[in-house]
Parts: sequence; C-alpha cells; structure tokens
Amino acid sequence: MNVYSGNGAVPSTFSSGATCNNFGVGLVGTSKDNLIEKNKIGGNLNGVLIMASTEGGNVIRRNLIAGNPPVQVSNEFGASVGADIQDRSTPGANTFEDNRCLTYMGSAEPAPCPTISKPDNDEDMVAFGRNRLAFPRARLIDAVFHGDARPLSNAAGRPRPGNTAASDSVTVTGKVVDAACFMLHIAAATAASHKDCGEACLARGVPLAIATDDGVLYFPADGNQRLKSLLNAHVRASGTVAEKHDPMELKMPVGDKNQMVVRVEGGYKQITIETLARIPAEK
Amino acid sequence: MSLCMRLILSVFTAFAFLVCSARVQATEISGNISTTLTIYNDSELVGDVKCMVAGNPCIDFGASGIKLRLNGFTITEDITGCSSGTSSQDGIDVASVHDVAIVGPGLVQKFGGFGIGIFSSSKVRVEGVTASDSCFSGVILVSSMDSDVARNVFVRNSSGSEGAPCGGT
Repeated sequence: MNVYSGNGAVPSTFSSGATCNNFGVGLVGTSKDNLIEKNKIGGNLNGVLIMASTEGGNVIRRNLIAGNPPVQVSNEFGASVGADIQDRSTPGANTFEDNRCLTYMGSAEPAPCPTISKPDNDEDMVAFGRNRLAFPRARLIDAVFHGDARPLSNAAGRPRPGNTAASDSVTVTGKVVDAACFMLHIAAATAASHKDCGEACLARGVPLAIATDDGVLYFPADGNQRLKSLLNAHVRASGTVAEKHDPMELKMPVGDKNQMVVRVEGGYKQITIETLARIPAEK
Repeated sequence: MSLCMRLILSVFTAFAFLVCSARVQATEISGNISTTLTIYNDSELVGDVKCMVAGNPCIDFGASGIKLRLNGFTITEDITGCSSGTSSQDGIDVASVHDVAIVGPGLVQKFGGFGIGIFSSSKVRVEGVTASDSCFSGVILVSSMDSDVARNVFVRNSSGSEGAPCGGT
C-alpha cells in the first residue's frame, strides 16, 4: 500500500472550467498493464489520473480514493478541476474493481465511482481501512465505545428519542472509576495501581462514573462533584436513572499535546444521585 | 586543476574521499553532495544527505542488480522556488538499468525535479520511501516496466509542475 496525499497544484495559467493534470497516481504516456492496488489516495488534485494516451490493460482495484481535490480547491477553482478518478482513456481499456471513491470524470459505463457500499466483510479491506496514515497526521487518539450491548430498557422497538424518562428511584452498587479508562481497559481502570493515574485524569476533568459489578456505567448527572472524593471506592448510590441516547464524548489530555477522545455510542445511563455512601471494604 | 571532480563523501568512518565523478564506489553515503553521485554497487545512507547539484540528479544508479538503502535518513535539496531550470534536479535517478531497488524507510524531499525518477528501466523496486515536496512528481516511471512501488508515502509533490502531468507517482 502506498499513501498519496496533497499532491498537485493548480497551475498559474489556470482558466475557469479547465481540468488539471496533476495527480496522486498518474498513468501517462503509453502506460499499460499496470496494477494500482490497495493505496490510500486523498487530498490530491486528482486521485488517479489516466491519460488518453495510455495503452490499456491497467487495473485499478481496491484503492481508497477520496477527497480529491480538497473541497477548498474545488470551491475556488470549480468542480471540474479534478476528481477522485479522472479517466481520459477509452472506455473498457482499463479495469476498475472494488475501489472506494466518490467522484469520477470519464466515460466508463457504469462509472466506477461513487462506490461506498462495498460490504465490510472483506478482511483485507477492513484491515486496510483501519490503518492510520504512517506519518504524524494528528496527535489525537480516538476510541469509540459502544455502550452496553443489551437493549436499553424502555427503549427497545421505539424510535430513538433524545432521552427516556427517568425511572423510579433505584439503588446501584459499584466502584467509582475513571470512565474513559474503564471503557478502554476495565482491568487497568479498576486495579489499585490505576489510582494515581485516575486521580490525574480526575484533576483534568475526566468524568467519573459508578461501574457496577456487571460492567454497567452510571454517570452522575451532577458531574464529578459527589464522586471525586470516592475514586476507586465501592459505593452504594440511589436516585433516578435516565437512559441517554445521544452520543457522548469524553475528552482527556494525554501528555502535553495529545488528547484522548472516547466516544460513547449506543446510549448510557445517567443517575441523579439522591443518596451516596461508601461501602466499607470487607475484612 | 584536476580533471576529476572532487566529491567529498562523509562516510561512517569519517574518512573523506577525493574521487573521480565518473566512477564512485559508494557504499556509505552521508553529508553534502555537490556533484551527481553515481553508485555502482549496493549502497546505503549512514546519515542525512544534503544535495546541491545544479541541473542534475543528486544520486543515480550506474549499474543493474544493486540496491540503495536509505536507512531512515533524509535526502534533501531544499529547493527555493520551482522552475523549468530546476526540473532536472532529481533526488535519485534510475536510468537504463534493471533489477535495482531503493529501500526505505527514508525521506526524499524538496527537489526541483522528481523525488525519484525511473527511466527506461525494468524491475525497479521502490519500497518504504516517503517522497515529499518536490516540484514535479514524487516518483515517476517513464518507459519502464515490471516495477514495484509499494508501501511508500507521497505527499505535497508537483507544486511547481505548472500543468504538466505530475503528482505522487
């Protein structure tokens, strides 16, 4: 796999409505019988450019070709300035297979783009999509957490409301944890050795939650105020529980310049704590 | 004045060579290059390279069946302004040879011409290289065949090609 990003420039002689020749991957001259496979091609003036002079037999397959040209470029110079695939070759001379791309300029029928709905059960493609760019594109760590897989009570079969009504008062018991860490690595977050790290996270505003023994997190409606003195303690809390369906992002700084973002999808539970008590450790 | 061009290679052992540019046996390369360095056997970077070769490539291949390893180092021209006058100033040229390789990791950047130019050659492998910020293509293959360009990164090339069909590869 190669990565092509940000290649190409609009020439100083550009006139409105023209199409540009620069590219991420270009087949020019009499190129023939080449294989362009499993590349990541984005942010170039054209993603893949195939000139009319090519002799055919080229296969372009299983590439991720998107964002060519960058939207700011197409806004400024017009949509015709480039495309994910710009194909000036004779229709049928070259083969396009299983690419993921959005825009195509050319005369092939059917057009090879847009193709965004290929099944995700192809292991190579899925693994390919997971790979990050090899250069330091962003100092950001993302994680997506899909909440409790079990259907949320009262929500099954309904259209997704923003929230559901709070339940009658319930009592939950569990451990007060640093929620972001807990969702990423339960064992680490509940270990005694995590206490210092958890306190550091708390100091930086990472939400705390009550993690029950079966792994369900209850986020206090009033933030960390009441739990902050109970990090890593077992507690019993009573109050009303609302089931939230909007995604939630937990952000925490990592080092001086990094940030970890844990995105909670699929809902979470929010508890309005009425009573809260530490459960003494068993002797 | 000697007929031979003086080419100073800063080598791993810190020796300096005065050599004839027509035939340099370069196995370890680093430092400044001011005259095209032609390699005839397996070679490798042992430090960053700064190229200052007006109108010609920085490094080129003079024999088939050899390999250039970049070893994580950088080859830089740091061109100031792209123009047709800088268009022959490639980072690495491979011309009329076969079965050669340029192997990363390594960075080839800021050349007035192509980062890597492959001309009339066959079975050329370019692997693990980052080619960025050159005025023309990151890597170009012209009249070449059976070559393999794999696991490379091409970024921000062709800033000065002025409409010529150039780009990443």
